[in-house]
Amino acid sequence: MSSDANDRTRDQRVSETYRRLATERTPPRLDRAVLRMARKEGRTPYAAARAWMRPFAWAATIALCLAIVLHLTELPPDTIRFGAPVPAEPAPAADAPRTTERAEPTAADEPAPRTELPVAAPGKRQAGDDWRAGDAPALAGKTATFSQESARADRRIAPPPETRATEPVNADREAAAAADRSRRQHALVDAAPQSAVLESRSLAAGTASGSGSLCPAEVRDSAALWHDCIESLRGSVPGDRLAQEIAEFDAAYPDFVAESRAR
Amino acid sequence: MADAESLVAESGLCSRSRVTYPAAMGHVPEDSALMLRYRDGDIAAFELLYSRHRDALYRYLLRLCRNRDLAEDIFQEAWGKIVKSRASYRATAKFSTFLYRVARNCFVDQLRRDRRHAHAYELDEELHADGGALPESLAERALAKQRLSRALMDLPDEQRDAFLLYEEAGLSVDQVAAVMGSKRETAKSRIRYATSKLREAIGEPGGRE
Repeated sequence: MSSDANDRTRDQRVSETYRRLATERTPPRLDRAVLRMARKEGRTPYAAARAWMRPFAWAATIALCLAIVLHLTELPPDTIRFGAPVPAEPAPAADAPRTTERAEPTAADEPAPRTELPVAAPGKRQAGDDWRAGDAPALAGKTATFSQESARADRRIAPPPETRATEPVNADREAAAAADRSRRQHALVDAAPQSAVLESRSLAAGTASGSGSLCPAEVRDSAALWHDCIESLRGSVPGDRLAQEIAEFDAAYPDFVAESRAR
Repeated sequence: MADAESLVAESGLCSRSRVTYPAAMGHVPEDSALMLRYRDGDIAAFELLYSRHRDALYRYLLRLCRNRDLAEDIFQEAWGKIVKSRASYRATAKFSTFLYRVARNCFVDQLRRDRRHAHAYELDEELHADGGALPESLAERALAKQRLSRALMDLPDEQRDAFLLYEEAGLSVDQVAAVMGSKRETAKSRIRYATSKLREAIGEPGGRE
């Protein structure tokens, strides 16, 4: 037998022998004394409450968490509103007149201003007097300025289309519209620098470009934007095309009044 | 008896004695859980906890003190401290480690209070009463027990203490070291020396009468 085997065996033998030896039991009087002491110490006024304290605390915590979650999930549906689109009041107001006015081109009043500008406009435009005379603004410099002024002008748009459609066209109104138009043209002209005028005059000598709107459709829906677009095109497109664009603009927004450019 | 011996032999492989634990261990709560329940006012939890450890602790103190009266006093004092410390009890270690550490500290405190040791606890009285009528095989076992008991009493205090914690309380070497406040290797060597001496005492033919 190896010493290791002997050790293991004798260890087991020692353990077995000891277990046979250790048979004593606690005396009953000792048990009674200890248990009596334990019951006496364990009985406290709040023993019953302490037994329920932990489950109650857990239940309260869970209820609180549920309440918070439910509260957060019950937010009103329209609590978050994305910025409402810019109420393009001028656009519907402008659209209506455009549609109605375009329906009324055959009226007696419409041809007058239209004939004045579209017909004469190419000539005039080519001359560059109204749009470009003297003060045609730089494309980059004045765009913002015209935008601001156009926005102000949009606020002074004529009454709603229904009113316009129902009101009888009279000469006084037409005269006022023409005056506004000329005033607007002068305002645009006043703000234009001299250099752009020379450039536009040189373009005016050129041939008119082909058909097609110079400004995109979404721009044409807004008088202010369309006006700004026209302003930005000055100096970069032939005069006759620009005049045609202006004519279309006047036809669509005859009542558009730009704020005074004279500052 | 053979079945019991085989069962003991199998359990002896782990060098643990679990004589105080009930056979059914399916859904028995842990000692720490019982202590925490007693802390919350559950008296029945303490009674169950007490029933698990009372006999082993009693035998441990009996052989550690070598005096029955002293062992009983320390036994009651140790359980009293356990009961009083229930409010601040934290399950940071096994309950058995905590229990035997408290009991050993009570023994050490008692030794300091009373330098005079009581006479050695005599187990021979019971054995002599049984040995006379036993058959030869059982008489040999009785003699072995007697020799072991005597050898156990003759061990140095530290070695006896380590052996009892290891065999009687069923603590691991690390837990024995924690209870005795020593290093693991120290506790291991004490257990080994004690076992070796006891093995010699049991293994000597004829024993020492």
